[in-house]
Amino acid sequence: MIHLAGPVVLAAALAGAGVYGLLARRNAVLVLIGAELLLNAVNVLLVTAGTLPAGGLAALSAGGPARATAGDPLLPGPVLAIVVITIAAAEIGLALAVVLLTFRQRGTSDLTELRELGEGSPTYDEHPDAGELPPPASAPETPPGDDRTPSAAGAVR
Amino acid sequence: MTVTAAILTIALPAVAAVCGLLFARSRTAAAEWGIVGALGAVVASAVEAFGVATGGSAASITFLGRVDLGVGTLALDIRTDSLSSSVSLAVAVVAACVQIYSTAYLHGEGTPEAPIRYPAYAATVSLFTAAMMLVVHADDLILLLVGWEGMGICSYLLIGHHSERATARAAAVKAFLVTRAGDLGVMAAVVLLLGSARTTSIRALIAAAEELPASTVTAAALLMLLGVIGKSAQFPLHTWLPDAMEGPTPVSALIHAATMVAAGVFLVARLLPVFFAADGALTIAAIVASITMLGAALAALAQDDLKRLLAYSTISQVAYMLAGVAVAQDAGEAAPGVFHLLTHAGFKALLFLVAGCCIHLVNSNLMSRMGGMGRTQPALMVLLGLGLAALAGIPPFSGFWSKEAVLTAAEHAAVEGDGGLVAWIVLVSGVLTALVTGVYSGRAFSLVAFGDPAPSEDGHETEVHRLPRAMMWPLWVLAVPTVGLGLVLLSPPDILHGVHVSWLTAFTGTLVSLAGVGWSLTVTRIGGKDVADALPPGVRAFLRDGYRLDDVQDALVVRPYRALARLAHAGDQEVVDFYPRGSVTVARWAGLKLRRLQAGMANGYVAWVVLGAVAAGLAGVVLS
Amino acid sequence: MNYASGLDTVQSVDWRLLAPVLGPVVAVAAILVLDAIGPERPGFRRLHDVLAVLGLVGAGAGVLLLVADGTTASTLCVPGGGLELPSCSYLVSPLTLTLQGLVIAGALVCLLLAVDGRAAIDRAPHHVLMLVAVTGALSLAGARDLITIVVAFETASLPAIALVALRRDAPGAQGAFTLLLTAVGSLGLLLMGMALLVLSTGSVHLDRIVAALATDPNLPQLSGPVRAVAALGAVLILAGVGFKMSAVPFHLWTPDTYAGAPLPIAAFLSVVSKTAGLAALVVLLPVGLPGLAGVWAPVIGVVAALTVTFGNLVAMRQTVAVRLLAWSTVAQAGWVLLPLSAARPGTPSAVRAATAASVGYLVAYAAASLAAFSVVVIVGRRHPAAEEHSIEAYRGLARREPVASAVLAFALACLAGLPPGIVGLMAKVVVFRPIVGATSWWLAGIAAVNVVFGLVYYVRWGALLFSPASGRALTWRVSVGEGLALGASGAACVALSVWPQAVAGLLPTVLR
Repeated sequence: MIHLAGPVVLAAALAGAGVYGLLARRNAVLVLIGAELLLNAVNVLLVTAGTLPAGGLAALSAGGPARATAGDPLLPGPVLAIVVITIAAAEIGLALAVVLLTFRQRGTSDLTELRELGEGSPTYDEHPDAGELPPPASAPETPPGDDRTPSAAGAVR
Repeated sequence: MTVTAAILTIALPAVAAVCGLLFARSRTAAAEWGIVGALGAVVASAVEAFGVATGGSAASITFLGRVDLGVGTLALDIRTDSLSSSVSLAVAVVAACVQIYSTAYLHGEGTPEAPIRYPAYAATVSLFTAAMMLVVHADDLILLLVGWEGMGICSYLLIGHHSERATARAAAVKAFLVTRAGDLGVMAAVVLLLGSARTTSIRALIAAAEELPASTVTAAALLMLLGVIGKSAQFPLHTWLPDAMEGPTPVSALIHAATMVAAGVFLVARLLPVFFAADGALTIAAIVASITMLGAALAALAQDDLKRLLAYSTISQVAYMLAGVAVAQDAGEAAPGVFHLLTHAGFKALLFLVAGCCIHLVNSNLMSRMGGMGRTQPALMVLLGLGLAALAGIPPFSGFWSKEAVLTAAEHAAVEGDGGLVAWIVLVSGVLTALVTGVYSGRAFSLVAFGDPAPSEDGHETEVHRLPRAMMWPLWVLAVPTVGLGLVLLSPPDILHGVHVSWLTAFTGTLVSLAGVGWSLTVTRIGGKDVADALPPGVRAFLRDGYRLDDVQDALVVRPYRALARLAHAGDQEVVDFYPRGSVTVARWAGLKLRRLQAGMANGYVAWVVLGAVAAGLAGVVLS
Repeated sequence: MNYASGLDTVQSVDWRLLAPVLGPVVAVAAILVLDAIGPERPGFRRLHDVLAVLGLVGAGAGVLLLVADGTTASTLCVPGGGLELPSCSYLVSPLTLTLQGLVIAGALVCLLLAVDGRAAIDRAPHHVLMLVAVTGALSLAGARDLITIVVAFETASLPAIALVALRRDAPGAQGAFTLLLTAVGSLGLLLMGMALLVLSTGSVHLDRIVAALATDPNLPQLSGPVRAVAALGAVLILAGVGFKMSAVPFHLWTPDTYAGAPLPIAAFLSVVSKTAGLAALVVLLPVGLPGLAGVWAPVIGVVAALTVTFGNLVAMRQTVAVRLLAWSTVAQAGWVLLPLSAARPGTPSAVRAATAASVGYLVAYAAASLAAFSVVVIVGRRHPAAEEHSIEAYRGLARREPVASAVLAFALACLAGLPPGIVGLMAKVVVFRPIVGATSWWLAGIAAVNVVFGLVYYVRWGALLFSPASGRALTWRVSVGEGLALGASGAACVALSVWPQAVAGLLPTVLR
């Protein structure tokens, strides 16, 4: 068992950096890296937990022995850490696909320029035009074009 | 059979409403559905009343099953007893008269400013009837609440029938909001009672009223009283009723005079043992009623608009009913108030429908424009006279008996019972109100029947024409109870067993009423002027405007709302849109601000997630 | 520290208990194979649909079989010798089966709605993603250890993000990105919370965690700092799961993502995802951390009060149908959370009653929400403004499309809790019960005010249906999928309203 202070401080530092990246970066890829840092902070904590005796901190504390149980055979800390690494990989794959899609649609991965859906954003149209209904003949089944956005719909007015 | 008839009184108008909406392709068909539904309800409630009168005691039946909530049971039962059957008969008769009357009153397509949507109108009136019947027959507070809210919604829709008029929209919104504010009290009371009595069955609650914790019962009764004050337009929640006259006149007759506004009194009568078990609830009810009856009668005195006069008179008369129930000396004694409810339903519906005829003839609500109808419409004026005589409490008309019953009950409570000061206040206020009622009844009659009509603004004289039969027949039907309902006291049904009329109060009351009527008739006939002119102009305007309570409301609620509404966004014509804007402008303003959080930037959202987590984390560590 | 030998830790698997989870998995495999070998022909696209539906129906049949069995059973257990607790990773209980049934029914309706939409042009990816998300939600309901829970939670979350992106336009991409970023941030919080729990208890199995944190008077009390670590873990878990329920302040992705998603996927998020969120929350807090109820219950109370109030206030100002529904689901999430705030440590029955009330409300909400979304999907496909159509599009619809209008009006009545939507009314009563029972009067007051707030926008929308049409109203012929979805969800609302005991009485009793 190692002393707890070191790993815990490391985890806190990683988490802090991660949250900072998540909140303050404008580039989508950098934001995602912030998220990864946060997950790695979790991993540090989990691996630290793996070094504790069975029953964790509760077993160490005052009423410890009475509460001590035999170790969880699933090796909680390390196994969960491995699972976290796997999930992080899956998540980053999906995230990059979405960023790529955004980049193709909008030509940017700067978050401050990607806000057309927000209701407080300058382009948001509070009263989208109900739109003229098409004549009955050409009416129903054809879905509208992909380029229709709220602002475009509003511009028809 | 009695209970089946009771269910039919609810079901027939409800079915008529649905069918009228779905299947009526023409105006005539819609009218027929409405009339058939209402007449069916009349027959059903007559059968019910007969069953109750011959079969004796109350019956109850499981209607929609029981819902076990774990903490208590909702017994969705229907009950029928003397109280429900008599009120339901009154409701059904007035509803049928109104449905028939409306076919002629709301003829044609209306004007572009006020188009008539007859199918929707007839169906809503039917739906209202069904909701009222549900209230009357419910043996469970939840069921009662469903009907109660249903009445509120129908009332809102009907006041706003001419939703193209801004005044109608505003009146509808006001009515809905004010009554709704009171309804919150009823809901809270139901939750409280469910929580402590573990049931919402009215029967069980009445039985358990004495055993429940006193604080709970008092809180529940006071909350419920709030709902009663809102629904029955009592001070200080009465301001919606005069404005509700924006609705078509037959609607005013049915909902805002005969039935819905009286439902508050019905609720108190139904739950009287609960109110009785609560400290002070009935005392507050009596004081509110005393203030309301005299205040509203004085306001009625100063009105120039016939419908508003009748509205204030309704407020005043409902206060009589409430007082009649509130001075009850034991938990079974709701009789005087209920009796006044029944007689009032008849004569006030008659008065409103007569007023509708007058308005129909001169195309104006102002009494100054109606003068001289004694010559042109003698039959109509006879009917008006009967209605006003009953209102003023002139013997032997129905209003006399019920008003005197209320006064006798107050006197009994004051002199012999333990009513104390409050009962004296009710008694004095009641006698004074009788005087004022006499004065304004006489004034209304002389202004409409005698005098010279003011020329209409567009110059030409309104042509004299015969009223359609569909408008006259319902009036004669309603005139029967107006004149003769007092006769039921010869063989009173169970619910009216507690009605007594003592000679002393009857004599005083009659004297006072006659004095009032006589004075105003004399002044107007001989002096040729309006008795209200005797009031100083400032006082008269003050009374006419309902003590300027609207201005108070305006300053506190409406003006801030307008400013915010302008800020929010430009208006829509639909009355349905008006409700949210009026009701929750403040809330919507908050919504506007909250929406600004929605900046669209994804990591801004994550910032809130993190902020939330930090706040939760702090709370967690503190609470651990 | 004698970890069991290798042979002992091979877990026994009872496949029958896992049948509901395995149904969609088998269907996923079949669809992937079919996609790899099958030709691009319309007939095969229908076959994809059939396979997906069969997968869900199979899962449903599994649930029904287990319900018929009526037993509570565990599987995936680690064998315990001596002092060790017999800990299992998967539990089949009435709670599990109720949540699973809700997920399956909701997913089926969403799938039927989706098959005719743009997002499902490529059948295989769409169906696979949806079924995988469903698998995650299903296993979440039964999961009873932290590892299974986190894997199931992410299996339910990540495919949903991809589904949003399947609209393949700019709003779709942005909606997906918004949800993704919130999900990633929340995942960090959730895992941090779990790590703190593992640190403080040394276990991932919920039953062991319960034992370790139990407030048993016979045992010496936990030291303050250890309790604080565990408490911090509990509230971080709450914060990490909150986004999936759209609880304030973790809700901000909701309207943007709903507006950017294909409409059937918005429906999926509002029902299946939300059920998964509640499953995670219920499994982790009332089931896993009852000893810390004194910590998380007040936090949930504040979150629920904020959620229901914010949701209603902002919903009043919405004019776009799907955005209105989005904010309405925020408000409804608050209602779902409200009863959980009545949990108190040391009173297992009260905790279970609160859980049952939450699940009961969710059932009522799910039926009504799916019915409303069905109509919105149908209108959205035929309206020129598509997904962005405003509620004005519904003006006068009752004349042209009485059936759909009736369903929508009924669903809105259920959501508002107005008669004739009895089930909505009953659900609100069910929610009030534990709050009043716990004498949280401030919460009851806030909830009561919100009953009124909620009426406003539902009634406004409902009334539009019956107002006179201005100009030409929409009219349509629905496809088979749309018709089935509309019929099923509408019928569910009516059935629950005719038989509200299902929500008000039966469910709470069963779950107790």
